[in-house]
Amino acid sequence: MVATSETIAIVGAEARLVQVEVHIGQGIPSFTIVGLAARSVKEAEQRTRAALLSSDQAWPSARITANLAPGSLRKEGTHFDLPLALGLLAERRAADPARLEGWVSLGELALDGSVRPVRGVLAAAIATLRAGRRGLICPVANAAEAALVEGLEVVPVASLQQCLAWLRGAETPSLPPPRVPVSEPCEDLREVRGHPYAKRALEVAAAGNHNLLLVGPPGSGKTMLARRLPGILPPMTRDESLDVTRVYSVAGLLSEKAGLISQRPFRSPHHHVSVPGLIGGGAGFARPGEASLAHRGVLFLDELTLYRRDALETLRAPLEEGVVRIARSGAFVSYPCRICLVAAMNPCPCGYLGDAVRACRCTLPQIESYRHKLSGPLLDRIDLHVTMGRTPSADLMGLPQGESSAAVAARVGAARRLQTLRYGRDGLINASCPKAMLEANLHLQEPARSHVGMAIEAFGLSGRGLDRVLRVARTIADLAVEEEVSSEHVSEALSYRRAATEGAAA
Amino acid sequence: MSRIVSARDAEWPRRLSELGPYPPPGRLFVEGSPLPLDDALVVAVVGTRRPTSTGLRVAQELATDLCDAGVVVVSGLAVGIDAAAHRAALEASGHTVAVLGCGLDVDYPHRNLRLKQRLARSGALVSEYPDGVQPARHHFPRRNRIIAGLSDGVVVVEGAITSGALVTARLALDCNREVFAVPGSVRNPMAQGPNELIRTSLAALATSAADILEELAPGVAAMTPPPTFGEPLALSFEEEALLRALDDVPLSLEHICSAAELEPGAAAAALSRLELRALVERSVAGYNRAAPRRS
Repeated sequence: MVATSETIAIVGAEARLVQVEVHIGQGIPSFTIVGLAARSVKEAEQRTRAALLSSDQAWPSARITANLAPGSLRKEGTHFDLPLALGLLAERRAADPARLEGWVSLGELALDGSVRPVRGVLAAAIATLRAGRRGLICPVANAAEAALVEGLEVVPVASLQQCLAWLRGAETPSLPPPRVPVSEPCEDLREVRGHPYAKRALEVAAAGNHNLLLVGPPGSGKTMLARRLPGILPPMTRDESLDVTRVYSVAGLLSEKAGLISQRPFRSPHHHVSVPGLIGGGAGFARPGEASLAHRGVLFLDELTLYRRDALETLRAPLEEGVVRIARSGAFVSYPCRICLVAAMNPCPCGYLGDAVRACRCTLPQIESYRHKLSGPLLDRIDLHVTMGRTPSADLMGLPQGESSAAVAARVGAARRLQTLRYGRDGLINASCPKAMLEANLHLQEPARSHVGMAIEAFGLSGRGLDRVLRVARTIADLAVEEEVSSEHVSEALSYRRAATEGAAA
Repeated sequence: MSRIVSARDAEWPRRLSELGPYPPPGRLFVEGSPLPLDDALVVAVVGTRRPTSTGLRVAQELATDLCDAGVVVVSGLAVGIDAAAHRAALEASGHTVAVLGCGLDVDYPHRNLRLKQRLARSGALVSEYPDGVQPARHHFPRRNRIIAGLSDGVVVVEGAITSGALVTARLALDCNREVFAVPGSVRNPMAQGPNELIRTSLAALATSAADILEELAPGVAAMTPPPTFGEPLALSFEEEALLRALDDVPLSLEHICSAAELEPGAAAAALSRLELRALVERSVAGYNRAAPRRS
């Protein structure tokens, strides 16, 4: 006889349905799990056996085979315990197989039969709903997470016994009360005095989701500005929130208290971060990296030149495609990574090149080797290059407070709405929309057209460089709520392009 | 191949032995054309390794004009002002001599390797150190005394207060040579050296080759007239305000737009228009005024 229960396997940020077939036959008593199961899955045997015995169920003294189908899909994690136990019980008719039909289950079993929380429940809930299954049986500690998906029936179980009782007709255990999303107040742009130009660039970055490089001496406020970017980005829609929460759920970073992540993430990995740490991967289960944890938010790389070059290089494709693909034996795992990259660096090793007060002490070769640590292709993917000055602290006190984040966010929101109207689809934005779409919407008239021509000639703009300038110009026009990209917009966009690597000293 | 030149040789300029308090070099290793003798007019153009673009252009124009008037240009083959002076002299088909702080066969500074090869063909390379001697910190002040010794006068184009160019200027004074300094913006740290030389009356102020020639050889007229300023440019209000706020040294745009009292977006747009007209230059360090071209 064969009984089946259903569960999921986590592949990247997605969950795929997996059939758990349990066969109990004659032969030397044994328990075998097949179907590309990783070590963490195979250990289910010991936990399931103990949990069943602790829950007053018999462990069949027979040859038990569990098959996890499709067999070509790599399976990892500890959440296979509960579906394995349910399949076994269904085979033995301790639970009604018909009742189990259409329910997807997941959960790790403790030796005493209680059900422990697992990661990736949100992804599982979304997959269950999409596949049109009846509902999801999940650990009670993860129930609130599963309940974030609207229109899905969730059965929270605290123990195997409780699950059995429910299968035999007991009432569905009640869901814990929904969690109120915790929103921490984001730091306000008002607190940053001075820096009118960098703030302007920050606004342009937010409006078109352009990547930003801040170059300035130590203490010029690069980090302070970067931290305030999430606060001027438009609030996340529910779908976006679910998208972000799913990545954190898969990474196992969703704390039990916080429910839906409603604020745009801000991730600032330290420069010692490894390649897998930054873009994802690692031994065993391919974990999402910082780039994916910053999905729909901001990835801040302070002291860009100190990062390992190979780590930065791997960011190139994800920045372009909005997706991280990690090669694993036999398959690609992908995580979403639609981020706004903000990088900061000093202009030279000592940090004071171009400073109004303090003289730079670096030699030319030092400055050059410092700059050469960054690859051109990575810098090419940064649309806004901004040099910041250091405001003497005496002047700081006299400066008035700047505009509030709310005021800037209102303009950014308006510019984003224009883009949504124009491109017809939510999520398409000036920085990353297809080239043809951008070109159709530039509406370049004279004299802006000849201005662009002159700039190509005078500055030696490459094809890619020109494309980036035009995207920024479109965003600046959107901020000004103008249909046509004018000469003025092109001029400002040109001022953000990548500066020559040579300093003043040629 | 280099040759050895000492005080016994006809090629040896007598003034090399007149170094005031400093010991004259026993012999020199020379490659290229003969050393300029005492009847030649020789001017050393020295300055910082980290010049502004205005400083570079001034050095280049000085060297060109001096060569056009038949003056030999001496310098130290360092990156920056030195290299600009050598290059301009070669371009003007003038005679130029580079004095090194290492053996003639040592590739230093590497950045000027091509220039050094050109100098060996069309100019002269000079060193007190035999082949294989690596550059060292204490070689450069000794090298500078030879630069001063070979010259009738020394011009400092740009240099910080602690710059080696100022060391050369003081050595030149001790050796009884004329010293000139090209003044610069008070906000340019690289103009502090020459400005200080002028302030303390150690150097004569020089704005062109004509100023130098007038002092050193009143008979020799400069071929090029002193710089004139071209027609006023057609500039918008913002552009004028920005040009006034700019300097020879790069400043961050934030600094500039607060000085010019302009909105950042408008200032950025206007600066990029000025950059398009080659009136300003942009680098990672910020924006600086482009050195005006001679009309």
